[in-house]
Amino acid sequence: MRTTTEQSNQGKVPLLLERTWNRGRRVVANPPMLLSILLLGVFVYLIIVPLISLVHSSVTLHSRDTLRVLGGKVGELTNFYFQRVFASNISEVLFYQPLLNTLLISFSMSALAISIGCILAWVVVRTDIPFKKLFASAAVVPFILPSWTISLAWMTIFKNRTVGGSAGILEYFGVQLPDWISYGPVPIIICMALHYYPFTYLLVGSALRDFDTRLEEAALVLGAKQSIIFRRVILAVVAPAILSSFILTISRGIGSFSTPVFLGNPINYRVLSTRMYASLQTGSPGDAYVIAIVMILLAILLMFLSNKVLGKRKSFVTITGKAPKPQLFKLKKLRIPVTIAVGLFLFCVIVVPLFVLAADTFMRVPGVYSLDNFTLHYWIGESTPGLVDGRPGILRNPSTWAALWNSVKLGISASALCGFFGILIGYTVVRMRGTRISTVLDQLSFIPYLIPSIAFGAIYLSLFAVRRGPIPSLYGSFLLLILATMAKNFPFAAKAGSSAMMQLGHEVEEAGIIAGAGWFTRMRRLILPLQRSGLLSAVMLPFISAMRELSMVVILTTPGTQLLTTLTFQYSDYGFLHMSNAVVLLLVVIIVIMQFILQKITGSDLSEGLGG
Amino acid sequence: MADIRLEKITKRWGDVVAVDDLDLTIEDGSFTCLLGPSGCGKTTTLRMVAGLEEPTAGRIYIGDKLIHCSERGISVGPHQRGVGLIFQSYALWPHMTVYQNIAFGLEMEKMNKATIETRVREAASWMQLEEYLHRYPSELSGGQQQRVALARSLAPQPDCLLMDEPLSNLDAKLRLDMRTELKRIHAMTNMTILYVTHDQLEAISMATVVAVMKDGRLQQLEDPLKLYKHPNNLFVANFVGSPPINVLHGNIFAEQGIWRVRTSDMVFSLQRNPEDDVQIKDGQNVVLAVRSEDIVLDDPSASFAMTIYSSLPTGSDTFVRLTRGDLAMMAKLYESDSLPVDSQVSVGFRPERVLLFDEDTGQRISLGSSLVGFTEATAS
Repeated sequence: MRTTTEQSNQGKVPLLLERTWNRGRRVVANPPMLLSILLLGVFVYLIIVPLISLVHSSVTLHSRDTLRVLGGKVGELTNFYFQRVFASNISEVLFYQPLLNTLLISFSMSALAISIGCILAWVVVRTDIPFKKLFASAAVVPFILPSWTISLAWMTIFKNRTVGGSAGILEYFGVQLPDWISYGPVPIIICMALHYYPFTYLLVGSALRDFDTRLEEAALVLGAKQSIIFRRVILAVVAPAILSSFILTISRGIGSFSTPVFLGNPINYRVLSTRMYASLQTGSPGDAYVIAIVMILLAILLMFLSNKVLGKRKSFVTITGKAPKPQLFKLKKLRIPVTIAVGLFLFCVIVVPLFVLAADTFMRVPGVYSLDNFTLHYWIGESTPGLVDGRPGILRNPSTWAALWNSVKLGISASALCGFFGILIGYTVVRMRGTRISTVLDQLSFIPYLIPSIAFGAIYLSLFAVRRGPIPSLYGSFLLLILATMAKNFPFAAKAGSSAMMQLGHEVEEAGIIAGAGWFTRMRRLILPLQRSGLLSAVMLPFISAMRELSMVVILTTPGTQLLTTLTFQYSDYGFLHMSNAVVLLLVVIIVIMQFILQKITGSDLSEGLGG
Repeated sequence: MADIRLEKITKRWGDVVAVDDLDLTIEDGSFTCLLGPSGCGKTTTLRMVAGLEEPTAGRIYIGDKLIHCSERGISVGPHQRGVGLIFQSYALWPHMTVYQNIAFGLEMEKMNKATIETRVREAASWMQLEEYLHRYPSELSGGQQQRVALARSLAPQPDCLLMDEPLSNLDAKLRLDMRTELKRIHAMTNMTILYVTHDQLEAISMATVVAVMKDGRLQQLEDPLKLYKHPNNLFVANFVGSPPINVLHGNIFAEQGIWRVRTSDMVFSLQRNPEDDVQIKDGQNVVLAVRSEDIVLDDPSASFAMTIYSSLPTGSDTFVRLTRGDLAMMAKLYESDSLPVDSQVSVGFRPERVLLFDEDTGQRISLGSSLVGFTEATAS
């Protein structure tokens, strides 16, 4: 009776069959396994297929180019677009000049952003400056605001009459401004640096905060001079953080669209992203797809370089144990000047732009800053012929509300889906850890991060612009926006989901297995209730980013699916800067409220622990 | 009630062999400890019994029921195995009250509300948790959380209870309390308990049987007290007991019909226990092992001189570190005394307690060989 095993099995074939049958049944009944297959399908459809489609679209002939290629037929394989972008008489305008501009802007902007971020991080974390808490939270605000807020404010202040239209504030007061201050690389670099410095500030700030001051003290005790300590201890330990923020900033710079479009387009100063957008607008999608491929390759190259350079030094900080409270650097006589400088800087990058934008929306005739020019028209005015083509004020304007509603709808649906997938991805990746499929899922979910937003938009455009086999044409549909936004946010959702699962550990679920709870019961009663905060950040982050995303959706929206962000873009395109500014302010208010709620609920704070 | 039998169980992760061809029977009603250093495969073994990990090869029975057979691809679901499991982290569900935690498994068995209530209260009363039933785990101390975990596993009345280092998160005093508690639970319920630990003191003080593991293989399955005195091999001798057993390396030679062991500068004469049947041969490399409490200081017979390196009185007894050339040993004296550093003492072994192991295989050659004599080796 105890040797039951040997009884029923004589021949080898039945044994093999029995084993395969039994094992197969268990694999099929194994939820993580089923989920991995399901998720793999989702990823292939939303990430891999679009990528392939992008490459495919860049080498097939589009209908309007059939006449340009001798004997060309629609859908034929061609190197026409590659040739035109890289080696034709218009390559200079189409590609090389924009590429150089992109590189110039990305590098200079990153250098500036990193200098600002490092100085600010050091002052806030390691000196005895007052109002630390205030400064620490204020320093990240520029990144929370839509990236073109500062550009719009810049235009409002520094615009000159080169491109016609109304003058900026400075010109109104009689200051003559050269073009290079009003438009082009200089303002683009400054405005982008002011938007992206918080990356460095956060990364370097947390490296400095985690920095074990005992390392410093050890050097001090050994008789090292302050300058040597700074160079060989502090800088050496913080270097990886600086480097990784450099990579992060520069890769964002390469894909950046909104600032160059506002400050570069008026004088025809193009970068890759705006050049690509122009190609799409002028009906040369083939060129646009080639440029998108270049942008993606650049981003991947940067990521590769960063892995190469950072290697294992990525997490360099802190060995073990709780470091004592850091010795704060005493600013002494400089304390008040430094405080004023930091305060003034933050005032200039946060309060001034918002104030300028707000002020502008109350001026009836643009560029005339006097009290009798004051109006609430652009906010609540009825339609008046002759003013912004008879459009009513934004709060009365049905297109504002439609766009707001679309933005909210997009935010809610994309983020809900992100939350759903985030939890599933996190669960599956953590449960299947050690298997190949888990690694593949993890890496696939990261791909959208590598792709600049505008290129991501182009990818989706290339796939869904026309009907392909079973996949219908989704161009112009709201669903397309939802899919793209969701896929673009997969990396954050997956990260949030898997870190929440990691924190939970496997024993909580195993205790449920032992107790006899089935998979759905375990998910519903044991895992999901404990994932609330993870779920929330998997949902809120995509929501906020959906609300302020412009560069990806700008090529996917149609008049029927206008969003708040694309509305501001459109208004500024028409030259209705007040309207544009007013919509941006509305957006800022919404985003700040959402961010506030996110921090309150999750208890997490971007600036957490810095200073204070 | 049921016994647990593992037959030829192997668990591999890629090239790593966690458990290697393990045959182990856990007797019905026993309190069996799986003891070994981290990475020896003890937790993996336990998880395979629970059904949370699937063996690469082999069979597992609980009672007469085949619950796993790799050959036939059979693997019974964890909850159908009739086992309770206590995790190292307790794995209490933090969003449920103590009551809900204990009741969860009963709900899964579709019991009616009244039965659940009775069972929960019963389990809670065993563990003295009645007044905490409506608290959340985070509102309890570590010891109380441990009791909740126990009550949760006991409420469904499993045949076997599996425990994975359950006491390692408790402080020393609570750990002692919980050991007595667990031993009482075992005595009262007479459940089969499989208990994983790396703490040899815990294993010896609680278990009825100890299974020592190393590198995925079973080293010895033994009554805990015998384990201490009669380790099968050098690894077990070393792992069980604190401070670790003292060792002297040497080789065997026969002289005038008497087996002798020559160490670097001494020669010990050996009288084998007649029950030992392991062959020894001339020139074999061996290890003499003696526990610290079996070293006698100021021993008049068969003694040799050593230097006191330092002494550590604990209040009840004293640990003395002794040296002689390259040789270092730790002796335990049953009185508290601070001995002067660098003074000479004469040292002897309790003759019937000296263990002899083969140096190459680590296997025990002789049990309680008496040491009949000692001479300073002549430099040759």
